[in-house]
Amino acid sequence: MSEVSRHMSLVVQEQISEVIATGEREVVTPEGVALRFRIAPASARAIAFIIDIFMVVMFSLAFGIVGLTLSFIFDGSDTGAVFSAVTLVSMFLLRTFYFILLEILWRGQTFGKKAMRLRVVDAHGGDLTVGALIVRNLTREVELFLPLVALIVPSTFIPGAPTLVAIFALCWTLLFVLMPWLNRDRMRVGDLAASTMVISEPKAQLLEEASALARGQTQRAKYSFTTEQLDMYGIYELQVLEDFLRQYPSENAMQSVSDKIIAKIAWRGDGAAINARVFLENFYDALRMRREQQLLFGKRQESKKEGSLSDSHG
Amino acid sequence: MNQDVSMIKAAKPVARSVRFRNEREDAWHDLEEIIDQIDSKGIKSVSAQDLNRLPSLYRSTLSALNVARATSLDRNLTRYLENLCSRAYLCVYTSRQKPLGVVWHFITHRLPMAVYAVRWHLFLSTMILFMGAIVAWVMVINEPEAFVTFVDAAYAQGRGPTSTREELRAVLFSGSDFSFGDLSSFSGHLMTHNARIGMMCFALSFAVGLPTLYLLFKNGAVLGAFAGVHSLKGLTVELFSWLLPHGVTEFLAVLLCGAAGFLVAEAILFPGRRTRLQNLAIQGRKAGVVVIGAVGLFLLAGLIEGFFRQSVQSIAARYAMAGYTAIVWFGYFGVLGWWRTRQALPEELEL
Repeated sequence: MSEVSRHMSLVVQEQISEVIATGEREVVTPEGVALRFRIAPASARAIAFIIDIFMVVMFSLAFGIVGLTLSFIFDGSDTGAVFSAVTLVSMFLLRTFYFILLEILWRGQTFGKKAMRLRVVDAHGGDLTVGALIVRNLTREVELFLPLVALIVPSTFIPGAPTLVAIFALCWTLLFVLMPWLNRDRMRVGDLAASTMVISEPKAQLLEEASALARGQTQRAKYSFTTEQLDMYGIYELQVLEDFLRQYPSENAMQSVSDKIIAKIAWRGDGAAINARVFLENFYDALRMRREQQLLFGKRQESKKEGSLSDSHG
Repeated sequence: MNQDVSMIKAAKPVARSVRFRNEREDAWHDLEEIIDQIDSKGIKSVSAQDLNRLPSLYRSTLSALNVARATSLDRNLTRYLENLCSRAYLCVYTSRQKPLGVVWHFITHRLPMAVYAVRWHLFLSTMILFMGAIVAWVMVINEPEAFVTFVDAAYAQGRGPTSTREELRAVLFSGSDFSFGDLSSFSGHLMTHNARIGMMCFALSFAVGLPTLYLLFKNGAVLGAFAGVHSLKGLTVELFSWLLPHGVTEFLAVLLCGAAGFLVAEAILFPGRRTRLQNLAIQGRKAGVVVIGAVGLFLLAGLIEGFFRQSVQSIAARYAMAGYTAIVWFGYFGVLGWWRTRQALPEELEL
């Protein structure tokens, strides 16, 4: 562990803040900036796990076939035994070390996790240690394979145990399986023991500038608005409008949105029919400028005001 | 009409956040490219020049995120920066480990130190195993039929209180009709079976160590029952010559798993000044290292059993092998572990 990351994990451990929204976790970097990590959904983790198990089985079979071929070449007898022995041992080795080694090499990822864009990280934003990766993968044995065995062939679970003990053991193993749903960070027992969590890392794209004026499509705004009109709307509506404009909406949709805005802010043009797209783009630019300007003065208007402006304004 | 209502002419100026984005956008794209490359092709594929720029690009992007959060209302921009910063953060602040270096350091430092650290837990699990062995031995000596309550029929391979001396002896010195196929699948099965029991010993310890106690005691009882049956027929020396060459390694592995289990149970039961979860996270990592070491021992034991025991018949050679492995493990875990622990910096002990 390097000096910097050691320092960091100490700092960060002091400052773990609460979960902001369900499905998110905040980590404060050493620079003092809070970053939000999105907790991976159970479904994505399940798919990633199935992919990984598939890889393990495929690799084991491949090793088994290599062993089989070798035993054919060197000695005709005992081929079946060699095949089963090699497959069995490599299955065991792969199952034990596949996750551990890949997660060490690929900084918390395996084939399945890469495919699903998931990553194992330290729950406090610190360094991901080898020990943590070993533990979180070893406990999978008891979380998954043991309950599976207990469900499918209960008699082998604890041979000769009284029924009551067997039932208790079954409930106990179920508790492990259900653990991810019992805590807000979707941590399974291995994650709890190793203090890790699995985050999803979708790649966000930087889209084109939302402001049409900045994009340079038009030279000047065609429609103008008073501050009073602009103050009818808040940041929430601004960003809804941003998303709306980015979706290349239909003329009809833009018409009905601009009609709503015109009614609410009592906007009166020169009487000519308006171009809905240009109107919305101009309104977005003006509203964003107004809200950002107010933000600099520490005034943060989150949402719209109730009602509409009376006709005397504008 | 109000006097102070000023008309905002959207024509001339654009929002500050637009200019902010224009000035910095190139650096963000540079950072994104470097991270994409690290994620897809690994850190080694990144040029030294780019690697040098990574920290400063990361810091400037992080400060851009701060500014954007405070002043920009472009949601896509803020989201993009948050995503980019999180990815960069994980690149910059997770230490990069060379695979071979990790394995070597694990073998020469982490493992012996971790085992040395759990020496008292190891002592405890040894005592419990011995208790199981003594209880079963005493019972079998007095009442040979008790054997079946301790040992599964499948595991006993036909051996039991009704076996004659010759039958028992035949098993102990079997293997002269050497067959590679039988051997490999048998030891393969044994290896995975025992290693799984050991890992279970650890993994089940989250139930405050009770299953660990049970498994240790039971394994001890199997040993004791076998010893009882054989000692009734005067085969004690022969039995241990059959058992110990690989048994030293294998029992050590079982005991290590038990010790790791007790460490976890202790972490949950007696968290001290930390919270239970914090303590579990710290001790759990140590225990995990011990269990991985135990898995390695199980594999070695399987190899010894498969290739040594069945081909060596001399009792003296078998005991020599047992003694040799005992010395090696004592040197590795006891002496090297003690030495590394003495040499270690305080923070290395915490991991």
